[in-house]
Amino acid sequence: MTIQRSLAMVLLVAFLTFLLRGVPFRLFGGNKKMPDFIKYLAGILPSAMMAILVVYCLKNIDLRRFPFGLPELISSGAVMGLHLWKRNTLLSIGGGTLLYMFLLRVAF
Amino acid sequence: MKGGHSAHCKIRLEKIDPRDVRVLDFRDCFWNFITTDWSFFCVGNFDQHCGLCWFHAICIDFTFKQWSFFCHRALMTLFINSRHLFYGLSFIEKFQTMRSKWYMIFSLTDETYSVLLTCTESPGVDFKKARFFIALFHQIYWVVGSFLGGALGQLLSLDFTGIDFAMTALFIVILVEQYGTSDSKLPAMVGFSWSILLLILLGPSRFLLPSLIITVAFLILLRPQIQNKRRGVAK
Repeated sequence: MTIQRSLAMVLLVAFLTFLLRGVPFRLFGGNKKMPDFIKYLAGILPSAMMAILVVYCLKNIDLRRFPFGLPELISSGAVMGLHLWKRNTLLSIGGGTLLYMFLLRVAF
Repeated sequence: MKGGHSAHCKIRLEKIDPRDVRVLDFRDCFWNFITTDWSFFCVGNFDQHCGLCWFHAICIDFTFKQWSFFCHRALMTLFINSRHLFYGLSFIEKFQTMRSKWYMIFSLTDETYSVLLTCTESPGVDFKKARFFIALFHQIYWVVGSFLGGALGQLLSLDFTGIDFAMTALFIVILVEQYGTSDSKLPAMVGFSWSILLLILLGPSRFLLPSLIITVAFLILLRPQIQNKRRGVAK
């Protein structure tokens, strides 16, 4: 791929992504009053969104073949456990990631 | 918030831009067949039928390929990044009063979105400033991190395989926080069950947009239940 083409591609993807991000602001922002159900969605969507994003991050694990997604599932469980226990974001993310890297190298 | 932020950045720094991988992996594209293979086949066949010589068909195919490559990538971006459509919804009012509104929209990545969610209002703190700097620093980490990853990644022979789990871990942490503090557990349940069901039914490359749409539809349908719960807690 030539440099011009890569550049064009990056600009295209950036532009489209920016467009997508701007849509809700264009539709419901401005001086108009926000519709009631958008206010409702704004409040409850984040937790649904995070659940979907977690599934999205783990989408490539294969439960039928070795290692059956075990490194991901064990580390995810560890992140959850650590966070419920200590509520320390640094510890939960760092610990979970280190455990995952360790499991990939040593156990699986 | 502060902890999550810094943890995230430190880990991020050594990382090669995962967005490239996510956006550029065009093999698992939903539109692959429709926009490339199928249309190639048609154009090629059409030319041959019209009595044009074979190399003319190849020429058209080549220019068509250039065009269709861009088209394909554009559709893929829209498909995979469709999740960004929903991020802004929670920030319409919050960004409205900020001078940097357009920058905030521009920089609303997955990570910025999730860290901004944990940034709840409390007295005595300038939250406009805080939000702006979270977004700005995320972008700086991205740029510097990607650059260092690209430049030093080949020099250092350290194996960072698996460091991308930091992103999954960040999302899990924020899910735990969100789940703990929300009055109704239904939204997270709905999102989780539908995305898993559709992941099984449609496969990893196609489930995202359908999951988002069905989840939002369900949340609108379940509004009476969810709001009753919220009001009940408020009392």
